Amino acid sequence: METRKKSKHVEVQFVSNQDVGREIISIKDTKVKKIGNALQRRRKRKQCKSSDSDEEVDDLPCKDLDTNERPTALFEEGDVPGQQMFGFQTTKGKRALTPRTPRTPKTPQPEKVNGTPQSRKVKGTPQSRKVNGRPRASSHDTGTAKTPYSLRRRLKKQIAKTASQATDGYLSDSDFSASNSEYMPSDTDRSSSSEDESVEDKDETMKEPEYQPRRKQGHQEIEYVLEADEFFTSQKSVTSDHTLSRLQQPRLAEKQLQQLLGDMTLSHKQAVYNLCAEHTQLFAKWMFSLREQYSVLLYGLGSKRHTLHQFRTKMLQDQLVLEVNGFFPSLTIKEIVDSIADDLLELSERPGGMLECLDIIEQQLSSELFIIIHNLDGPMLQSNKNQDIIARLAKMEHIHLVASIDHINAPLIWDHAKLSRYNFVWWDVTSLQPYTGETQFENSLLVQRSGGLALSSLSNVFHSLTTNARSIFIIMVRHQLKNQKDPTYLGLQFKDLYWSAREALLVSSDIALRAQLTEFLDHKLVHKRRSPDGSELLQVPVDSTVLQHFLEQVEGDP
Amino acid sequence: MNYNKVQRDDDLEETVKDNIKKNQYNFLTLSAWYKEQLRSKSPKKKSKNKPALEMDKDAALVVIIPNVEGFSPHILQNFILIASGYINSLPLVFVFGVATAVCALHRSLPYHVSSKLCNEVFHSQPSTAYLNQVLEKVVLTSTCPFQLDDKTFKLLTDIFLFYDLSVYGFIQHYKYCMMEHFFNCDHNVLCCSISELSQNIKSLSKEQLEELRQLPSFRRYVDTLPKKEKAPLLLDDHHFKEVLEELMTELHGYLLNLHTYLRCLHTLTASLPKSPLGKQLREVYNMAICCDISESPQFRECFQLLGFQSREELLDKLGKVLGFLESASSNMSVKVSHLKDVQEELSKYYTSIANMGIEATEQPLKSPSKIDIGENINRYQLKEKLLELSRKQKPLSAYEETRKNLLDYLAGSVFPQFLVPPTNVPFNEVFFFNNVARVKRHIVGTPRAAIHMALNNPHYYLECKCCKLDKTSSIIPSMPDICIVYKLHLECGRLINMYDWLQAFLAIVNPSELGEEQRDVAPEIQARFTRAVAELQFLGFIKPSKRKTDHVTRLTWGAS
Repeated sequence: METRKKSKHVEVQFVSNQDVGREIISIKDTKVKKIGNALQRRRKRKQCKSSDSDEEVDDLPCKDLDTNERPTALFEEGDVPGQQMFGFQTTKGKRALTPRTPRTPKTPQPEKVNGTPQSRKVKGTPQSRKVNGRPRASSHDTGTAKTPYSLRRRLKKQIAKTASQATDGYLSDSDFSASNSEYMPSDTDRSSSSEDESVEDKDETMKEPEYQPRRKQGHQEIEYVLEADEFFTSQKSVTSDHTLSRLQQPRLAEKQLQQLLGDMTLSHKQAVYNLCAEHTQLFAKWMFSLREQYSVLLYGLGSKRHTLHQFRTKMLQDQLVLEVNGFFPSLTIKEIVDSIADDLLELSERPGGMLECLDIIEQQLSSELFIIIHNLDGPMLQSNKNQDIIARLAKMEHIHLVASIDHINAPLIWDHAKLSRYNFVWWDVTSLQPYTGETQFENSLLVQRSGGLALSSLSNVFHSLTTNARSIFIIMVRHQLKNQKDPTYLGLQFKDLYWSAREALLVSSDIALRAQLTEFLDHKLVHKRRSPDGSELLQVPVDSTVLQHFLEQVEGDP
Repeated sequence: MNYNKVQRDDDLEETVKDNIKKNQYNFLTLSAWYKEQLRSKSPKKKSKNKPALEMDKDAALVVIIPNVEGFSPHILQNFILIASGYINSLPLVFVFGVATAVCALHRSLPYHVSSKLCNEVFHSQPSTAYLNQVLEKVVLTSTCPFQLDDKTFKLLTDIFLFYDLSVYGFIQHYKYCMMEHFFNCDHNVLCCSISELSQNIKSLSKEQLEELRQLPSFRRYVDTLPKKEKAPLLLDDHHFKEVLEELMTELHGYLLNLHTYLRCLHTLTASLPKSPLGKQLREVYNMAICCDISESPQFRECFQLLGFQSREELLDKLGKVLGFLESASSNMSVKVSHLKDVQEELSKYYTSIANMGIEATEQPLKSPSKIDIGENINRYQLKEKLLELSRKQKPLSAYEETRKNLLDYLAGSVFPQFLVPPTNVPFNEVFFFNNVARVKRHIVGTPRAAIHMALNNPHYYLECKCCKLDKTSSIIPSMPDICIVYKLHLECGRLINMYDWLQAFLAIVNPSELGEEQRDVAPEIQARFTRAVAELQFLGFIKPSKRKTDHVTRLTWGAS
């Protein structure tokens, strides 16, 4: 058992990612070389046998393969290694902690002072669990354990232990061994832990997402059963069951959020300002490359709208400019093409088809047109077809494209054909500016879906309805509120609605009701869908609390 | 169906546009149009009616279908079937462009369709062949003064070979390097053809001359001069201009030599077994400009191998080399006298080898001279004896003698003299673009790496004192919010609990007295967290999950 453990340790512990990478690469290299040599040997033999011309024909297609060429200039020292960005992160317990440990030691900031060492302790995660049975790990841990962190970790672990029934005995065991392996103060702190018990309790729950997968891992380490498919099973990340409703104010209203963020001063203002000033210096070069039929593509963390705005105001004052907010969720490619055709070229007769329209634009456009697209990877522009059209536009002689991308997988939307049409020049314009404009259309979990807005729009639409229609709508709302507790409730059946409306003398026929419903559907007051048995189900797609408010309002002033 | 067809034949639209609507296009119209075309026999026919492809008397109607894989097979099949019905009135010829393999065509066309076609397969060259042609005929010539240094050249060829195999892309990247070379760099106006040189030198301003003086290669050159010559060169603009013109002309001469002899070397060595110096001119070029090629082990290996060349092969290569020298010296714009000398010398070798005749090269196989082996000799002694015999130099035949002399001449005096890396030549910066770092990031974008860097180590961009990290994984409260939130999310598994995430964020930016859970969060901090999470979602690191309330899914597995 002991030896087995050790061997496993060696595998898990001592080989760093880079080493592994190097190992693999070198193996690959030798392999390739061998293959290459073999190829050449074979070829030589063949040359002996057959005539030269034969050899040449054979050579032509795979010429570059047998020379064993490898890209050298593409990868350099300064590059961010790919494995850092894309490597699999096995939920190794170790790894979840590492960022946490050094955090405390290096907080010389004065503001941090109020966080006394004790509070810091409490925050830790149960790293020391690893300690037992792992001489290597323990030595590492004691190194970091100089901070009171270890104590906190231990405390939390204790609570974790009580919280989870699983592997009870083993955990407590590990706890003790851990405390022993570490230094004394931790022990005394442990005794004081009982006072902070309540504190711990909360804290432990807060850190749960990290430690739970790790606990599993710790378990493995003890038993040393490492199987390949463990990777997939252990991927089921275990997170705590807390919801945001534990907070005093679970969600901020959209308006409040915007106001708060607007009032806030940007961190690192000067640095960001310097970055932006640097980018301004590049404008002349961008202009030059644009005129040379390149497209300028900006990437990097932070909103690039500001930079692009500046570019427009500084360089493109007297030019035709089309600015497109690609992040806007209801943008269509047709709008872009139409606005070029109608607004800029003022074509009297615009063909219906998109491609013909592009042809016309290409023929008619005689002056330079600059297209600025914020977020070329925006949700509506991502599709293959739309990218194709933009690429065609960018390829035109008089059209120059300046665009920005933000999504980490954005380059995947282009194939070689599109890339060669775009002919990008890439610029890193990391500005670390907040994405205020770009993110405002996102549904964030933390933002309250503005019920206020829905309510006002609901009542506005409602007031524009005829009395009969209002009553029909009220029937639906009532029905929905009555059934709101029922999880199996899918919606009001059309025929039920019909009969209740008929009984209230609101409609006389099926068709009249349908006409009313069309109006609701148009205003998005109602969603219609088919139930599994084929009947039509109607639902008001508004939160029940809002509906309640609405109902109260309506009944308040008839 | 008809609609699709006519779209592809959209050249015809012009003629029929006026009287026929699009939805009335059909094959009958097409054949009517075709007949009319034939009848009118206008000398300038449609581009589709290529005169080269005339069949009998009638011109064939060629339909080019590029990228067959991109077409829906159904439409293609129907089109072919319908067209086959009109084959009597319309002599149609299809040209299918297939990007992958011929089987793509067979896959998309079932037998009953492909049997209507009479297939003939033409192969085009692989794109590397085109690249080599472009390089050899345009880029790597002495008439093109703009040259890339070894690193940039390697970068561009690597992008081609390992990334896109696109000659167009290569040319665009090359153009970008050229833009970079000339942009905001006025003195590079001297990177011109030799006829414009003196004109351009005259137009140089004082600042530009100063810039030229600052070039490292020129400084090195000045350092080698005796003291007396230094001062006027640095102070007297007029004198400097004269020297400049002289040196630039020399540089042109150098370029001519470099390319001519590179070609010679390439001809000699390309077909050697294993081709140590590379099979392509670009490989030889790359090596020659990065280091002293005549000192390299590959060069020596090549000449060793050349030492075993047969007479025919050597003659053949030598003939080609002479051809190069001939053409170089005939249309040279720079006076390079030694080219002539080398040419004469080599042609002497050529004639001598050629005149040697068969009998000289193939020496009559001497019967192995009887070796006096004593009667009583043991195995060890025999071995010694044989070794001794093998060490003895065999007398060289006349051919071998000449070959040796020729190779010694080439390797000893010709190549080492002319194939020197450009870094030693004054003002090489004017011709050789040497700043790969300036172009690389713009030719090959690294958006993911930039975001990764900015999130993990914002100090790299911000250059502030507060965010300096000694370990990439550590988190400091002074970092931008998005970085903190990102680093915290790296610690999580596939699902992230928003509440816990917020608490972890709070523990960093606003640690409470006892580190307890903070249920009452200051709205500012909550707003900051909200924004940071929204930004991460916008960047594509997370997305909302419906699996569990208030959870988000992690979309990356990158380790920190």
